[in-house]
Amino acid sequence: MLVCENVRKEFTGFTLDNISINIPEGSIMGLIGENGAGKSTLISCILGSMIKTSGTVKIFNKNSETLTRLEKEDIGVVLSDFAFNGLLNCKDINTIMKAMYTKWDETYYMNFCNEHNLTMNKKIKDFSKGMQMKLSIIVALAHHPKLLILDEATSGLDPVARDELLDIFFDFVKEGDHSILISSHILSDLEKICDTITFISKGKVKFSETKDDLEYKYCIIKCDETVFSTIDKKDMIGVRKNPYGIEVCMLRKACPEGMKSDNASMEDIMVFASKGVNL
Amino acid sequence: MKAAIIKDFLSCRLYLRTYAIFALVFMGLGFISANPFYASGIFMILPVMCLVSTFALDETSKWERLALCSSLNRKDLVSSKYIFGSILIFIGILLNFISILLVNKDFIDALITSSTFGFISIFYLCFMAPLMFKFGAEKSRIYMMLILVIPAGLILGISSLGFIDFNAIVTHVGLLTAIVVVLFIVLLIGSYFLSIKIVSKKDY
Repeated sequence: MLVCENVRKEFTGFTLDNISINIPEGSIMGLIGENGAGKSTLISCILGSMIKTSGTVKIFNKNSETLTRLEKEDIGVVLSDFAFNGLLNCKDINTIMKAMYTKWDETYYMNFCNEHNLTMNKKIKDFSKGMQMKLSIIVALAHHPKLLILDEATSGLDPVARDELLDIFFDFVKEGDHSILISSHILSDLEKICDTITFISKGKVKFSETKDDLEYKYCIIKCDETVFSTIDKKDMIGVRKNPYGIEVCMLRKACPEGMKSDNASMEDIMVFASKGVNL
Repeated sequence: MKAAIIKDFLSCRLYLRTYAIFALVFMGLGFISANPFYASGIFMILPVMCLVSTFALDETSKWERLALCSSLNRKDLVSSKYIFGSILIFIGILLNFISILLVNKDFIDALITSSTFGFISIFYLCFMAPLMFKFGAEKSRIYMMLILVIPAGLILGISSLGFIDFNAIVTHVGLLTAIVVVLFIVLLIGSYFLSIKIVSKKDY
């Protein structure tokens, strides 16, 4: 469905460094990383709003730069900023989107707005951030895309709304030829719905694993420098030094014998991965 | 592209109402004072101000980022602004023509004057659009002032120094009109392709 091969984007002071990801049909990939890691840059390069330095992006088995207008309609996008100016209202957005998409489903859009108290004639600038985000999501869904790309889509939403939206995303993917790429800081949301998690840090992919692998593959051990020096760096995700010793997040199978290990949550893995393997 | 133009008209709704009131007031003042050109400046500047407003709104909301993710491409972003600007300028020319005609009842005079002011609007569009695509609406405001002031100053300066006899030039109206029309077509096309080149290399 979506394949990135060695996508590179160079800025002064930051480089998105040869990112490769693969999202098959019917799956959800979560994109996590610290602030400024390159998640939004990667999404912009995938969607074409940023011009990548090198690399290829294939969507629907076709180079993204050669997609026709009709094929691009099969991509739904939710960005972190609400992309319509505050002077417009929901009715205006419906008018604009009807002109933009041949498959725009006005009934679906209106019903969603009514269900979620998105008043038709109210200006966007008078909506809360959460309501603006809900509106962004319905705008992405109402033209019935096959690929959904969400950049911090659930931030600003209350837990009830987030739960409802996660259900919508689940239903979306149930149709076997639909896929989602979602970037978020809310790891609990990603843990609920994602099949694969990709962690980006400082412009590089640190790991891209299935959720199950992440759950069982890694552990955290607490050791001293003597034990630490015996562990192969290739088996480590990251290390953290504290006054009581060294914490190492590493492959469970490479754990030193007799060493007590704790389960590593996704948040732990992310934090350790961002710290690196050097003390 | 149609969606982008509709978005601009819907966004400008509030501004257009305010500008329409401005225009009516100036038209009325022109009628009362029997000065046919009272509102001409307004009809010249309002289309450009509206266009600048849409650029500013797009910049604040980061509309281009969403638009490029949809079925619109970079060429559509540029074309929609030029078409929107041209529609507003045409409406400005029409209203200016009616305003002048109401006062002095001279069809040819009204046509020439309203077209002249329309050409000035197109002149601003040709320079403003690439600047706004390149630098954004906020940074381009300074350049907008320079584009307003420099040509006017040059014409006044040349005229007062006597290098060019404008009265003599004006007698060749037909030839002058043809040259001006060709010049503006070339300018508009050049501006359009420059904007496309700017937008094709820009990261949103």
